[in-house]
Amino acid sequence: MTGLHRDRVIPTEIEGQKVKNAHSKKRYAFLRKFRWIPIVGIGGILANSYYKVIFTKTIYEGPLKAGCVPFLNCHACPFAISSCPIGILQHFAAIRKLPLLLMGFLGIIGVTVGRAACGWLCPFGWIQDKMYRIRSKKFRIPKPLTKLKYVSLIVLAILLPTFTGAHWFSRICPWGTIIAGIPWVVWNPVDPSFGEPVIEPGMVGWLYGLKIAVLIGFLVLFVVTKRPFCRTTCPLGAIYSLFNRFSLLQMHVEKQDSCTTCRLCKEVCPVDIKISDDPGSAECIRCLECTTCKHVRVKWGFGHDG
Amino acid sequence: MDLKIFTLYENQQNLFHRIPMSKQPKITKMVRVLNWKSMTLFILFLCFIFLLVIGILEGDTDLIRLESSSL
Repeated sequence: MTGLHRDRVIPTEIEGQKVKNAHSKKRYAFLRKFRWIPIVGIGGILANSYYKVIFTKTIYEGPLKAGCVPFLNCHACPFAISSCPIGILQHFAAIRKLPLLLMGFLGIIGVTVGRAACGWLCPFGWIQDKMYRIRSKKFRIPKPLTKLKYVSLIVLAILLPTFTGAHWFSRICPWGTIIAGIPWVVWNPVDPSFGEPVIEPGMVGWLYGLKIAVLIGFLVLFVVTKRPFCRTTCPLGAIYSLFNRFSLLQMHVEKQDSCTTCRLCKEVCPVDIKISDDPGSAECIRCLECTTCKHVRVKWGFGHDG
Repeated sequence: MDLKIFTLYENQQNLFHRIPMSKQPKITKMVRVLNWKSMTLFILFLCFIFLLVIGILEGDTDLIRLESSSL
């Protein structure tokens, strides 16, 4: 009985699988090639499309600011049309209220796609990928340092704002410095409602210097190592990484036991993980770069083994 | 006798898993999908939707808008 089934079912299954794999590989190659489109289009342009600021000289205050984007995007950016999830988290910690809406929003994203927003929407992560291509001596971040992002989440984004009332992570956020801190200080328009410059001379002090120093430090790190900010500092990445192991979208390595350890998956991975060792890694940003290897594919839906 | 039945059951289970999903009846597909992991995930998903709705009803949107509309 078993033999009969083997003869009748298995060859068809293998042939079908081969055809399916070939189609999947083409699809993955297409997705890898055009991954920059949602990052630049949604994360970069759409989330920062309040061009009217050039005339109004004040940030957007409309209904879209009541919601937040699923990636880092400072809401103090002159062009921002939506809120930053970490900015909101800090604000709710400061006023000592549970951010129910934010928890629900980030939870839904985490459960469905895990950390995919980091790989498919976050422009800051994409900039890090691009800067790593600059020729220089490279080094790997030790694995224990990747746990620092949880410290950053708990201390800088939750505890310190709760006890001091100040947004400590935003004060040093390098992405906030790039898209909000520097543009406002350089532009510094006259506020039409008060008739005075938006940034008063006293506002640019030691804290601004610290912001710039942190930014420069990270910019140097971007060239020499893979995604240092996402892996060691980003509180949002820390939140999403909690869902990575059981989210609906999962990476899957076929024939995991027969992996030839060619290390192709690790070489192409922007977060420096070996997917064949741990397909549900908390660091994985689901960028699909590892699907270059024919054994790696995406699994979607309920009932998978992770 | 018990061992024989158990072995027979085990063989049938192996056989069952050899049949591709596309050729299995709908009910067996459902049974395979409804394991503890998927149920936990589904319940978690519903909890987050519930949190989101409660957050909106509690007026979180107004607080977010107020906070993000200032420099």
